Amino acid sequence: MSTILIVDDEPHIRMLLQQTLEELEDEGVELMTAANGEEALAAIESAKPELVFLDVMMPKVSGFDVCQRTKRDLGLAGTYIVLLTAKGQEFDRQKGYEAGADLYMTKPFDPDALLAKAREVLGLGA
Amino acid sequence: MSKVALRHVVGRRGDADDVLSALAAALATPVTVEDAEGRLLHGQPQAADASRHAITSDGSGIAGWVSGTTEPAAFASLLGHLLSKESERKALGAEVLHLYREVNLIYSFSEKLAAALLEVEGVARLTLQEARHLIAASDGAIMLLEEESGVLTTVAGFGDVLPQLNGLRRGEGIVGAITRSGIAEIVNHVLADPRRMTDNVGIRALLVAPLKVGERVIGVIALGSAEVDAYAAADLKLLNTLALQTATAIENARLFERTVQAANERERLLAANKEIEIARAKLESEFELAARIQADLFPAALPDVAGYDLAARNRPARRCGGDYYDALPVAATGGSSKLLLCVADVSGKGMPAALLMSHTQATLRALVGRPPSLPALATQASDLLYASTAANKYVTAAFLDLDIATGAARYVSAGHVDCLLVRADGTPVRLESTGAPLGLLPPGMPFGETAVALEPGDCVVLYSDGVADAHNEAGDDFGDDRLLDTVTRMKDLSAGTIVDGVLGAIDRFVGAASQFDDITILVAKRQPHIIE
Repeated sequence: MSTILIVDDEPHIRMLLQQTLEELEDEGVELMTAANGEEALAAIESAKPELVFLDVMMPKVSGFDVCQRTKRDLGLAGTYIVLLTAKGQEFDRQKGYEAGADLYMTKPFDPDALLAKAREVLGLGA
Repeated sequence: MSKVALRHVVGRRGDADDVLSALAAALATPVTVEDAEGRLLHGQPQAADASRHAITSDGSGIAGWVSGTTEPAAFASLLGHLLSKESERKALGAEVLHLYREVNLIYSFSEKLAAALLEVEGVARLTLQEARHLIAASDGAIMLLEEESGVLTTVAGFGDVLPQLNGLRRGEGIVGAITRSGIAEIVNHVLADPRRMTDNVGIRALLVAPLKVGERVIGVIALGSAEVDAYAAADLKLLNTLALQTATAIENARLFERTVQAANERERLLAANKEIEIARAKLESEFELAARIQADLFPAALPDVAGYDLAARNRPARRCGGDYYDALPVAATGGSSKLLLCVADVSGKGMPAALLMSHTQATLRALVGRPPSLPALATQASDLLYASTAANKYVTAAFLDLDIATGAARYVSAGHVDCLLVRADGTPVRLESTGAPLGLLPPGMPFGETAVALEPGDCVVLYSDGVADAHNEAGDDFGDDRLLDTVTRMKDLSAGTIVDGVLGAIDRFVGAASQFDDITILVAKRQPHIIE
C-alpha cells in the first residue's frame, strides 16, 4: 500500500487536495494529512509516505525545512516531494530544489495535473 | 449524494474507531464492525450468537454490519449517521473541487490569453483549443460579427460543419439566432429545432455562446456534437466563462491591431511628408536658381544714352515671370545711332512662361539690327516663335525704334496693351497695337508701324498688362487712367522716379491684395533742352 501525505496549514486547501486525490484510495492508496511542519515531520517519520504534497509557507517549520529534514536528516531521499506555493513566489523555486524538492507546483493548482503526477509517482495507471 | 464506503468511517482510514472503542468500554461490551462483504473493520470476530445489525445510510442499502451483545442497533445507527455525514462532506468536497477546477480554468486560461500574441486569430484558436479540452465536441468555431452587414466570419474552427458556416448572417439558423439574441443556449436536439437551416448535417447537439463586450455581441463561439443530448448546463456555464474572457481578449486584440495600423499609417504619412518636404525644398532651390537665371536675362543696366533718361523695372507675380524688357543700342546705316526699346509679355505664368520668356529674349537679341525695318523684325520674331512653340503659346510685345539724334521713332505693337506717350506739355498719346501677338499666327504675318516723334521733355512709357490690370481687394483695376494720371503728374521728374512713382501708386492702390500678374514698366524720357 502506498501513502500520500498532504501538508498545508490552510484547511480548505487540505480538503481540496484530499478531494482531488480521493479516487486513489480505491486503488489502495492511503491519504494522510498534516496541518503544519511539525505534524508533517512526525507523519513522515512514522508512515514514510511515498509522496508528499508540501505547502511552502507555513508558520514555525516551513516547507523548505520539512523537505530538507526529510531528505537529509531522516534519510528518506526516495520520498517524492512536491512543493506547493502561491503564484508569484517562483523566485523560491531554486531554494526549493536546493532543499531537495522533486517538483514545484503553484497554487491555484490544476487538479488534473496534480492527480496525474500522483499516479505517475506511485506507478498507477491513468 | 455520493456513496461512501464504510471503511472511510471505520477502520484504518476512519475517524470513528476511537469513538466506538470509548463507547464499547463505557458499556463494557465488545463491538465488531464489518463491511458489506464481511471484511472486519473494527473489533474482534464475535461468537455466532452475537446479535448482528445492518448499517444503513440514506436508503443506499446495507453498508456493513455491527455485532455485539449490548445495543448493537445503537452502534449501527451511530455508524449510519456518521456514514451519512461523511457522504455529505464528500459531496460538499466534490462541489468545492468542481468550483476550484473552474477557478483554475479561468486562471490558467487568463494566463494563456495574456501570454498569447495580441492577435485575433491567435486568441480564437487558443479559446477553441481550451474549449475542446474541457467539453467534448466534434465541431467547433469562433465567428466574428461584422456589425453593419450582420455577417459572421469564421476566424478559427475545427471539424467539418461549424467552420463552414462562414458568411452566415445574424438571425440565420440556430447560430445566427443566438448571435442575435445574445443569450447562450444548449440545443441538444438540433433536428427538432425549427430554427435549423438544414437537416443534412452531422451535428445533432449544439452548445453556443455569444461573445459579448458589455451588451454588444461581437461574435459567437459554437461547439457541436454528432450525438443528441451531448451537453449539460455545466458545459454551457464553462463555455460562457470562456466566451466572456475571449470576447474581451478579441476586443483588446482588435484595438491593438487598430493601434498598430494607425501607427504604421502615421509612420507612412510621416515618411511621405518627409519625401514631399525634400522634393519641395529641391523644387524651391530649383525655382530660386531659375529666378536668378531669369533675372540675369534682363539688362544688368540700361545703356547710358546722351539726351535720354531710361529706367525700367520688372516685378514677377511668382518666383519666375513671363515679362521681359530690353534696351538695345542698334548701329544703323548712315552712321546714325538707334536704340531699340522693348517690353514683352509671354502668355501664361510661372515656370512655363519664364522658359518662353528666355526663348523670346534670345530670339530678339539674335535678330536685332538684321531685318531692314521694325515691322520686318516683328515678323521674323513671330515666325521663329511660331515655329518653336506650341500653338497656344504667344508673346505680346511693344517695340520702339528710336533715332537717338533726332528723336524720330517707329513704334510696333504685336498685340500688346496700348502704351503711352506723354508730351512735355502733358498731352497723352496712346500707342496702339499694330499687329497680332508674336508666334500666334502662321509665318509671314505683316505688322504695321506708327511713326512717333519724341520731342525734348516727352516721355514714353512701355509697360505690360500687369500694370493696368493690378487690382485691389475690392476687385477694381488700377487702370490706364490712374497710370496716365501718375505719369502726367511726374512727367518732369527723372525716368527712375517716374518708374518708382508708378509702382508706388500701384502698391498703394492694391493694398493687401496679392499680385496676380507680372508687372513691367519701362520709361524713356527725352531730356528737355537746358536753356543756359
